[in-house]
Amino acid sequence: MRLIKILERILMTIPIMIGVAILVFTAMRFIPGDPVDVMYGDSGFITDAQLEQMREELKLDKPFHVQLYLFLSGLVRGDLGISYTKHRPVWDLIKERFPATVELAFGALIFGLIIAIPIGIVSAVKQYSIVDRASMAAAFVGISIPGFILGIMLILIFSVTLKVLPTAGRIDPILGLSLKNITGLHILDSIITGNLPALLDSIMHLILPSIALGAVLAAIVARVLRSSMIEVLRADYITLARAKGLRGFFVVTKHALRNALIPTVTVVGIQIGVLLGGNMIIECVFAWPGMGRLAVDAIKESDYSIIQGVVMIYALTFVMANLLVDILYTFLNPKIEL
Amino acid sequence: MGELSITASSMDLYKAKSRILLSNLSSFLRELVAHRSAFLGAVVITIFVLAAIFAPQITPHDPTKQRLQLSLLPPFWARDEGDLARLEKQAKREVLKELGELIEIDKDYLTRLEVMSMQEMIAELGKLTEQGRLDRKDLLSLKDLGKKVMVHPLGCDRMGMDLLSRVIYGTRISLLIGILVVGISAFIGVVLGAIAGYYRGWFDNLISRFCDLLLAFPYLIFAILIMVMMGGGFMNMIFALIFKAWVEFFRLVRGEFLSEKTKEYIDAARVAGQNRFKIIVFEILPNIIHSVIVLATLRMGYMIIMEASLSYLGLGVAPPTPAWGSMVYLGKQDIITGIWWTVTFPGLAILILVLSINLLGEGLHDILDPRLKVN
Repeated sequence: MRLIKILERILMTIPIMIGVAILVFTAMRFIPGDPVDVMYGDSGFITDAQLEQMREELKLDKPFHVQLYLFLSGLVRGDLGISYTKHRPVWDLIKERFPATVELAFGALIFGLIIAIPIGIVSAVKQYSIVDRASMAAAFVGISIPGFILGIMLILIFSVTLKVLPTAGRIDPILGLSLKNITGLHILDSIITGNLPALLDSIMHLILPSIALGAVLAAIVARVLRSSMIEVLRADYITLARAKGLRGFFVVTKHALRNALIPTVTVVGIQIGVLLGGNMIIECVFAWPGMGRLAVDAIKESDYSIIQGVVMIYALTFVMANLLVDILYTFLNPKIEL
Repeated sequence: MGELSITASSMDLYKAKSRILLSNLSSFLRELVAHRSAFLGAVVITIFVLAAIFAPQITPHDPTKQRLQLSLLPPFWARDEGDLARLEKQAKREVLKELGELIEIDKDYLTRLEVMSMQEMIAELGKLTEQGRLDRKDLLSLKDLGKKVMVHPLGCDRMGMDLLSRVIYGTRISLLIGILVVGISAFIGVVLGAIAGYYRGWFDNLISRFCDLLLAFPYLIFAILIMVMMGGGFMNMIFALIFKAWVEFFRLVRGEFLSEKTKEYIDAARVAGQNRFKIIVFEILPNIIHSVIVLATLRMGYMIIMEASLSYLGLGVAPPTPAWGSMVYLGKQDIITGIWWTVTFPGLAILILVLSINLLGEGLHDILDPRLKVN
């Protein structure tokens, strides 16, 4: 029964993704100006006939619905078109940048959860204590500060003033040359190849962007976990567990946490969207060579094919992440059906 | 006779209703004042609103006036000799320029004036007044000008624009975006949500599927997509943010309508012969509007962050128009050399405003949500 529900939920994402593709494609056609002009317009070396031929090659002379069909069928094959300014397949460009974005997102997720889960638990168990009040005040600031401002403040404090962490990039360029590219994830690659200096340097580069990106997540998860823990700790079965003589720590971690995590998982799912959007800005702040920065550079160069591709990938990642969260949700709480 | 008594009773009803409304309002205000953090938020927001309205009166300078001599001038407590000299030089230069427009002075005299200190120069100009060449009134205004140019409490940005004035004027864009985006989105969401929740059917289906589609995009990514399509600027940014912001209001109102619709008072209203429009607007809406208000307040902070983010990416309001996000973007290029003030002050302004709005929003949630009161 549960399997059918999950299958149904998976199938539901297909029409959504088609809708997303149509929406993105349509939005891109609304932009005034012609991609061929963007590519070669100002060079002056190309004749009108050649421009015309270029339009034909890019199928820009075809009517809207034919272009849409070609775009959708290309998507299925993993073909996102050719970058107008870089003259390379958009898919290749994104593939190069994607691991950096994933590494940063995971860094933020790990930072957020490592901070939030203990804080949420302690704040719930010791409600209204100093620890609770201080961490909830900090969490409130955390949800009110834009990530890019936090990032810049972190650079000012830790890179410029204290000079303990790097300001930009993923790895020292010279160390980067020594690192063999296997997965594209620097930390994983340096572990696999046993390259300790590269590993340490990658971690140093990852710390500040992860904090800047993960702070909102940490703040929200801590708040939600605290309030659901407080509710769970009042439940009868917790009293029973305590009455049976189980140790407090055991009651909290084994009995209460599992149930308190259910609303938390939903919140993490919603926050993945914030993480993906915020990631774009944080990548700009820290000159992080990921997908978001690729898109922002493309905006400046009016390279719509890249923007289109990156937005599609972001939406796809977001939909998939939500799907994953929903599935995880059913396993955490068998009572709830999808 | 019968008609008269009906009129009288409806007048009474009206009076009674407005009395209830007044007492509700005053008890709401009392609760707001008693709720310390919400009250603090409300006070700070009021200060920001006043600053935005009276920006021309309270700012020392035109926020877009560039004084390249004063590029990256530090705030007043962090200045060294060189900074003070730059300030004085700039003040003298502007005073002399103004003087040149008031009276005719020969070049030699001008060079002599240029090497003097500010104090000496004013004294020298005093002599001009005694000779009757310069009006006393003009002398005073020149003195004021000199003083005014020296006032840059928070320093200047790279283009030599006064940071304090820009931070104060920046309040306008942020507040306007927050209020307009949330206001229009809430209106759209309430209207569509009420219709969808009350009537269900194909309309509900259509709008709900469209919402699902919009929800497949991360918020900022979607706003960027729309802004790339339409171009930057203030109005386009408002449109881009509203395009998705109404969805949350729609879902909230729709859900509330679905549950309210099944309650007894709706049946009573229907039996009493009220039409659907009246039931929606006068029966259900007043019962759910508090949650719309709470959501609207909390979303306003988020919209201000989104505006700053878009401006930071260069998609929002273009400089030199003062907006906090673009100020942070312009300041970012200098932080490596330790120039902290150009990013810190606009950043703090965003943080404090959003923090206050969120404090008020959470406070309103405590005060207005009757479900919480029961607990």
